[in-house]
Amino acid sequence: MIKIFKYTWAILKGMGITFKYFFIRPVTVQYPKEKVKISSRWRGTLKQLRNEKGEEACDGCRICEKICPVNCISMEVYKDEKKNRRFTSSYVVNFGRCMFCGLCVEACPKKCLVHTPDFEFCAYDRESLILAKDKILR
Amino acid sequence: MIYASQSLGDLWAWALNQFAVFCGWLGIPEVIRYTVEKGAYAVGLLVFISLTALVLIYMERKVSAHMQLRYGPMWTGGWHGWSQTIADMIKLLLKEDVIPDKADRWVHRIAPIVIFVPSLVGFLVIPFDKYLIGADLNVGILIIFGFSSIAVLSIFMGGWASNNKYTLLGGLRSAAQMISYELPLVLSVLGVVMTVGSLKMSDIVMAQKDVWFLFTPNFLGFIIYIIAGTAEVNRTPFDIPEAESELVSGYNTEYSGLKYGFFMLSEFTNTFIISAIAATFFMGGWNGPSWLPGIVSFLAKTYLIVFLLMWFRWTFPRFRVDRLMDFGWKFLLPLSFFNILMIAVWILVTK
Amino acid sequence: MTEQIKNTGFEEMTLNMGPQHPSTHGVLHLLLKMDGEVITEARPDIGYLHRGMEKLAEKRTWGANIALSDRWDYIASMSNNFAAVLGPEKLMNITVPKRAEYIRVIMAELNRIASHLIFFGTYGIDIGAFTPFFYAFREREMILDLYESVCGARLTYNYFRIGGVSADLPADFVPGVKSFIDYFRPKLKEYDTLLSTNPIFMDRTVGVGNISKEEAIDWALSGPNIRASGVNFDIRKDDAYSVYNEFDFNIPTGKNGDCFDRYMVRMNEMKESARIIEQAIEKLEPGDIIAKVAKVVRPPAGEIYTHVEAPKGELGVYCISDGSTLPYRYKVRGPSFVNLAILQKMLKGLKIADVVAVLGSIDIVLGEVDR
Ligand code: SF4
Ligand code: SF4
Repeated sequence: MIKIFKYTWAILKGMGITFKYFFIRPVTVQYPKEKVKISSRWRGTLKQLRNEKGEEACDGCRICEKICPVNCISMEVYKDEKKNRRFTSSYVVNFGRCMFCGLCVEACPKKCLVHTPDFEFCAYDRESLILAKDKILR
Repeated sequence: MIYASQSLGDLWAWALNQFAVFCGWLGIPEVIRYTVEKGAYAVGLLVFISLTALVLIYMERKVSAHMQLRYGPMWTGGWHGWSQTIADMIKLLLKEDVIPDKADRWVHRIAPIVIFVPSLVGFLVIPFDKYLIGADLNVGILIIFGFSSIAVLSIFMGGWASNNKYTLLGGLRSAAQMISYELPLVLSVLGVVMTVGSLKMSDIVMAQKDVWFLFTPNFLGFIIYIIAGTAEVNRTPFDIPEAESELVSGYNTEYSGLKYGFFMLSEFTNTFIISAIAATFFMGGWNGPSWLPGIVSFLAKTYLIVFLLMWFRWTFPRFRVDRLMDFGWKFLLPLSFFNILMIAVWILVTK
Repeated sequence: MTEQIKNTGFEEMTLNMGPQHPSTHGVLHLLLKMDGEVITEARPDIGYLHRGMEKLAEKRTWGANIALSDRWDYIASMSNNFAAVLGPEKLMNITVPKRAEYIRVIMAELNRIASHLIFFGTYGIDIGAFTPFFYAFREREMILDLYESVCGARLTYNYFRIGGVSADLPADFVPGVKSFIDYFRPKLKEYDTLLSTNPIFMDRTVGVGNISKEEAIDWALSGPNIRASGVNFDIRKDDAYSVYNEFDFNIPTGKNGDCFDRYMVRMNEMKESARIIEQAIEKLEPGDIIAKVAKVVRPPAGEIYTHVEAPKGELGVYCISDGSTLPYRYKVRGPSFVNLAILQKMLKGLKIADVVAVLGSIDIVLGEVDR
């Protein structure tokens, strides 16, 4: 008998909790309308920066290419004799493979490869996930 | 005359009256008058049922969402996603109707109909308002329980015909469950029937003019009724025929499109019927404050019970099959016998 | 079949549970032989999520393997990171800065809470209660927010580095963790009222799927599963790695080794984790977060086995280095994989409804089972 009362009480208490939450404001976010604030360290898609002169800062040292665990960065490098430094003639990141681990950004000696806070990157086909320099260099 | 009354039931009675006078004047035979009357009522009922199903599904979504700190549907139709259910119904209508290759086609096809029709019949004897009752039979409550036990058959048909092991298990489970919970369900109502001395729905409602049976010793019966009723409509904590995490979706795993829609619809209409009976038998039906139309107080009570059932559903875990049987046979059934005994003694003492 | 019916009057039914089934926690395939609803034989069939992690690891640098380790047990990546860095660190004799050690411990314990929260939520769903799932995820989301502010990812953190961690804590992390723990403690009580004391829940779990002490040891269980059987085995205490010997915490154990005990051990572990985090935050002092290590590490030739107490159990990494930048062999001992084996023994004689209760209570992650 006591057991029955105990059980009933436990059941009622459980119902009390759900009832309490029934009146508490939901915590979910109406996604496309409102967006959550994401952290500044968010590891989103990659972006290359320009240096203060406005030219691309990357000097094609290929460190990011080597460190990437899934080999999704590929580039071609040429030497610009006039400016006496290397440039990349193409810099392609296959975001279909990229796992946003952040190793490349960490390793970049020029600090010119950074993450964007973009978390909505999507495409209809895999081809459009491969971004070349015109998209990456911003 | 009509303006004085606020109640839809009175309005209906007045309309019938006028119609009878009109028929008498035209000399239309009684049979036609009767058919037209009941036909009108049936059409109204059908509209009401489909609306109810829509509202209930929407309500379930919202209630569950808010209990789970979500919003539920928010987009479709503008205001708080009110038309989400309609959109879903359209989606179900347009979906391909898949019948499994080795299924027993005929049984597979007929099962959703077999489950839906009895739940429609149940509505006929529910007194929505004073005169608003399809057929005030003197075995009213028996009709409802009689027809609702047909649902077992349909679930079993669906489970068997789909030729799938999960559906088979679901069907078997539901057959066992619904039959064993039918007993306490009927017995719990018996207490009320004994107090009133009639099976007629309108008599039962009239008997509660002053005090609801909920506040008499019939309270125990109410609790048993709610528990057994939850089991009867296969809702958590008694949803083992569907047991999502065990049997994928139970007996309706192989159904799609409109047929699945029927299963879903009948779940909600059954929920409504169970709640409506609870409101009629224990909460005074359409009795209520005089300024409130009877149908409003009836619906309010019904929806309260519906909310209770939803509340159960989103709070509790699910019973295990054998425990469920134990609970039904070893606890609920003796308890309902005890309830009957108690009511009998009470009647003896008070009368 | 007909033979069987003739002999016994019954026919056994073979039920394929999974790989697409709502409650096999991923792509586990259970082959059940059933007599009515009672199971006579159960065979877990794994491998649907096999990605060849161990072979992949042999072609990745030691540092890149940390990023891959995120994918073993994807809901407790920090612990995986932990296991992945300990090996090379020991081989190279690196002393990790104190601050980094504490940060690691905080991260690992937060991850334990997050992982057990998932267990709590999904176990509720397995048993049939949907709502706790959402409550658990609300709390987990807060942990993920904290992680996001530290390392920029919510699931695959890749936060640990050989010799330390990749980034220092942001300014609002410590107050964030403190307020989370204050918020979390009362929620645990709420969970108890919702599930742990619920009679239906107890009915489903108490006395179901018992594992005796001896069995637990024989089947090499680890983590909460072995502790629920009453074996006090926790790598954090028994083979203390990192700075775990500096903390004061209890190891919750069960008695009967049934589903309920396994569940309760996890619930209590969350409390203990919260205690560890509090202590670690107290001890946090400014300092280096990473030791001086070359960008591309070359551990000296040798082999080593390191293990950590992951939320699921003993997560061990056995690695052989030949002195190059790539590991020569990289063997992972996934706790889920080992714990899953006992399922075939436990399920015998239970009902189909118990399958999900037992399976859920072992708390496996298919990513780790198949790797
Ligand atoms: S984030 Fe990781 S996977 Fe993506 S490009 Fe950089 S190193 Fe490669
Ligand atoms: S590491 Fe940085 S500088 Fe070097 S190639 Fe990559 S982006 Fe350019």
